[in-house]
Amino acid sequence: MILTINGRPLAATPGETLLQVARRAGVDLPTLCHHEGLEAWGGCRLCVVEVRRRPDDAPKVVPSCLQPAEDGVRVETHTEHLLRIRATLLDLLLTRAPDSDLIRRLAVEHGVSDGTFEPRPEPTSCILCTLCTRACAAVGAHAISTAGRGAEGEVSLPFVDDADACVGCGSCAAVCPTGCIELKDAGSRRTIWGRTFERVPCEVTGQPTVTREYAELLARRSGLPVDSFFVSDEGRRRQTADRVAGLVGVGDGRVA
Amino acid sequence: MKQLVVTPIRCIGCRTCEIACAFSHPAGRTPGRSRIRAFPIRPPEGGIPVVCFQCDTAACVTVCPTATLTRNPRTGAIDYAEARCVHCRACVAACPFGNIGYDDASRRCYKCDLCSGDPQCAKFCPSRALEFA
Repeated sequence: MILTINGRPLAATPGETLLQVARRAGVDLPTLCHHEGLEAWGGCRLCVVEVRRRPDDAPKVVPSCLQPAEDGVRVETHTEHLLRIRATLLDLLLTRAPDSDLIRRLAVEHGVSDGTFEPRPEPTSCILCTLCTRACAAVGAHAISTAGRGAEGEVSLPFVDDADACVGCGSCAAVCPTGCIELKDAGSRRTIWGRTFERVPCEVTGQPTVTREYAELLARRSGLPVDSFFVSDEGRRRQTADRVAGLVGVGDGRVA
Repeated sequence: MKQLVVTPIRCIGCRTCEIACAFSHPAGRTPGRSRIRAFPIRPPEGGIPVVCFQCDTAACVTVCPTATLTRNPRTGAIDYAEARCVHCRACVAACPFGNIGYDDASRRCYKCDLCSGDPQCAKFCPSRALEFA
């Protein structure tokens, strides 16, 4: 199917979203809550575009990350109206996360240097994009979710401090766009969400591998034994080389 | 489809493959983060090259929660799509051969991608221990 983005005719395949088509064509659409590997959510609204089915239709503003590509639609990504919407959204985000470099940079790019709204009494860097909760669900831990509403919305553990379901994989901290999830690695000790984990040392090299809790989750997900996850990639390569050396009968069957 | 064929008995342990690999994968790649390793072995002097087997039923693909690792139909390699990765490192923990790693500095996994169908390690291997055939 063919659709037009900013006047350019572009080919799209069924199932693609307007954001995917636009990005493939090199259109620079800002996003904060989008991740290729996670379910689209449409939360940040920065990727809004104007869509018209017929040339004389009034344009409809939709988040492009959720809008499926359709044959013949006309899409505009940078009209004055859309730029104003994005500027207002970033202005609002500035009141919540005034210290976030990412938000400040995006705001300046959209012509917002100072927030015009009254700032939040306790600023936070969390912009409620829910990338962390969606990553956590994808991993299969379901340890965190959003809680509260409106200005009191936050990402939280069940009952605020119950970190039982967390496995210490670190995905939430890795996908957070504003870096507001604190993960501390000190040797084999990993602290995240107020809980301290021990990363099991590799039986070959001694390097820290994954936490026992994460290995148990991976074992459930894959059907492999829990202990099979406690060897580092370096250790595994060494074991592989040892096995091959034994099989082909070179040296004394062990790598140096 | 061509495959990277490893004949360990021919390996002389020179580790040229590691350098060729590191240089053909830019963005902070160093020989320490090479996707192929040649472990020196003695006696007699030689080496055992270890590189991704591009398994038919691959553990890394099975455990990946976001379909970041997928088979490239053109090259036959299991490719890593960085944009889909949530950095859970399940693939690193699951690969039974240690052929996928995670680089903290560049925040991405690294594994053999067959250099998009033209593996440089095979090109530079002086003893034909690595062949693309």
